[in-house]
Amino acid sequence: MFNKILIANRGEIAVRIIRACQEMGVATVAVYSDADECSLHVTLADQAVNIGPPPPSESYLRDDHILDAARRLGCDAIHPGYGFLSENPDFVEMTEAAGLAFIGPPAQAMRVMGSKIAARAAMEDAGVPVVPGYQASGDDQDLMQAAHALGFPLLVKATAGGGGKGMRVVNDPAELSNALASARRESMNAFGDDRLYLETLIQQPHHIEFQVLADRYGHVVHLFERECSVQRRHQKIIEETPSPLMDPALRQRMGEAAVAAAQAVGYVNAGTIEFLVDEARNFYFLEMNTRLQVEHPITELVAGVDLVKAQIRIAAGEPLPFTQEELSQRGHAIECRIYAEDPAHDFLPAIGAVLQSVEPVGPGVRVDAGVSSGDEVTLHYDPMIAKLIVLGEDRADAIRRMDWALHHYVILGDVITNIPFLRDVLAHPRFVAGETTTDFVDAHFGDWRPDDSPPPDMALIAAALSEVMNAYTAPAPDGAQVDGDPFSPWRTMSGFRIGA
Amino acid sequence: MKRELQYQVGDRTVTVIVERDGDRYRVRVGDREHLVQARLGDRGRIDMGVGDRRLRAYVARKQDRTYVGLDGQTWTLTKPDARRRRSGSPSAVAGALTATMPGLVLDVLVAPGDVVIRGDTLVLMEAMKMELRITAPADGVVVAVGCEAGQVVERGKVLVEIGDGKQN
Repeated sequence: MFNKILIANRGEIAVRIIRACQEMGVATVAVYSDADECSLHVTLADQAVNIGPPPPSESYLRDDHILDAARRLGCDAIHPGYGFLSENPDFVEMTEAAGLAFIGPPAQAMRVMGSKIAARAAMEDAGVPVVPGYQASGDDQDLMQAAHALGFPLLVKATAGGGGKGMRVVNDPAELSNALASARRESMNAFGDDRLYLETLIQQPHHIEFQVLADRYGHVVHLFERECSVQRRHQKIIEETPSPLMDPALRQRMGEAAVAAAQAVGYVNAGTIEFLVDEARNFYFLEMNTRLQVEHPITELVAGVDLVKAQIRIAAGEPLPFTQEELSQRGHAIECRIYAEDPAHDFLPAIGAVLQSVEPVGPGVRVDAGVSSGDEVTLHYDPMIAKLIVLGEDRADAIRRMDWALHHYVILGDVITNIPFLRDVLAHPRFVAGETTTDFVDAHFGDWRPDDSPPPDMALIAAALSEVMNAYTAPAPDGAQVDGDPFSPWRTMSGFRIGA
Repeated sequence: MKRELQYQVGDRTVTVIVERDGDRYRVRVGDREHLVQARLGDRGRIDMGVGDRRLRAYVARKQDRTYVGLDGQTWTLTKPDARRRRSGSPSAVAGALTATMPGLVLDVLVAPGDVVIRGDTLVLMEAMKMELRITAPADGVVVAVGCEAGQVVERGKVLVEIGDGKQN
């Protein structure tokens, strides 16, 4: 087992990985940019190293700074989290050349799956169905020609893309040229790579992905599916498992395809095979995410496996401790991503200070947060505040539990959150019936507006009493009287930018 | 002891009068009166009782704003005197396109005097690694441009003003 792991990430995922390390008795090193000096992941780690200014290209993407820190502090492994350097095969090779273990797949498997052309060829060879598309050339002229051959609507996608960045839906040939230009720019900014490809748009698909785990000795298992069809701007906001669409026969076929996909590229460690499933229940390989997913917790809750610990053990050379037959799904898990964004204005990020964050606590409720009271959600990074995850006995139970948890999640400050929106989505008859496809949010919530009814008397009374009572209460020595307390976090920390 | 507080709710000012009454507070909101028991907790928590009804709220304050979380909803209340004054002439403001979030201006595609039609891209912005297109909401003429490529703009910054093309 490793002695000390450097976590090359920030926010909730860095916190998640640090916790796993602590439970395993492994020391941790956090890295941080100037914007994150006081953020949660830095506070929780045993050691922390500043790696540069706030822009990711000057800090969290600086492989040289990160490797220097790892060597200097005597780390024997690096966990990349998701995003940033997690899917960069050059970084894997640099890490290994420096004598450190990379907690993730081999560079070669990452390279194949990171290239649409190579991944597609590998999947076709392995008998895994793929979405019809075009990626023979990235040249505008060739793409335009291919687009007309494929037909509309189609998707322009970034070869290096993920999370909807650098992706455009093109319904009409006239929009194509604009879409190519702007997708190229966005991809260049986000990934430093402006290569594009085209795919037929599968209409109203379910987005269903399979979690796989593979050890160094050729054993590959899947840990079932995650239904991720509730998306906005092509980014997932609610995920659940099991998928309401799934039946045992389809699960078995898709699970076998996922395992075959991983085996085809010599995959090791945790990965996710994303599929689109059409109305007729045909499934198509979309891509493989060669890293831990944001939504991994729902699988952990239902399969009873800690995926981060499994990743660390696999990277340390341990064999998988279970076979496919020993794995099963128990209960129903849902994750909601709590974002600092405004659902009434096209989900644009609505950043600012989080003055007070009160997380729901109770049976079957898990909060993976990267932002706490006094922190600021900044322009520099993803505006996700937290992931709220629940486990219920069945789907109906899980939905009710999630609604309870959202109801009791209090976030006060200038940030606008999507919590009221998420509650309305959970209550929608289509969601309740389990009939969500990837166009669900656009189709049913395009004109969603928050309830703007005036505050009830009790809200005004709470504001007034809190002001009056604090004025008459001497600040408690333990800082309990937050509102009137000169030592309260948002007074003493004003001017801090603690990050998202 | 009696305290009078005012909060701005939308375009309406609400007066709340708080008066101590034994171990309770007599609170008047507009013309309604409530007898409230209250206890402050940590992290801005306030537990209240009105008759047999029990409520837990959270309150945070910053400058002129008070944030209240109650029963799964949040409200932002402002002090009436801090109400922002409107600036500029109404017609100019009506045609002003503002930044809906802070971000980096990538490109400005129009100049004053340009005729634009609805849907034309005026400004390209990037924020949170997403590209945003600021498009013309209606046909018109560009009156003024308030930003330039490479500039980092705050939320609410006027990027482009569009007029109807008629001289006043």
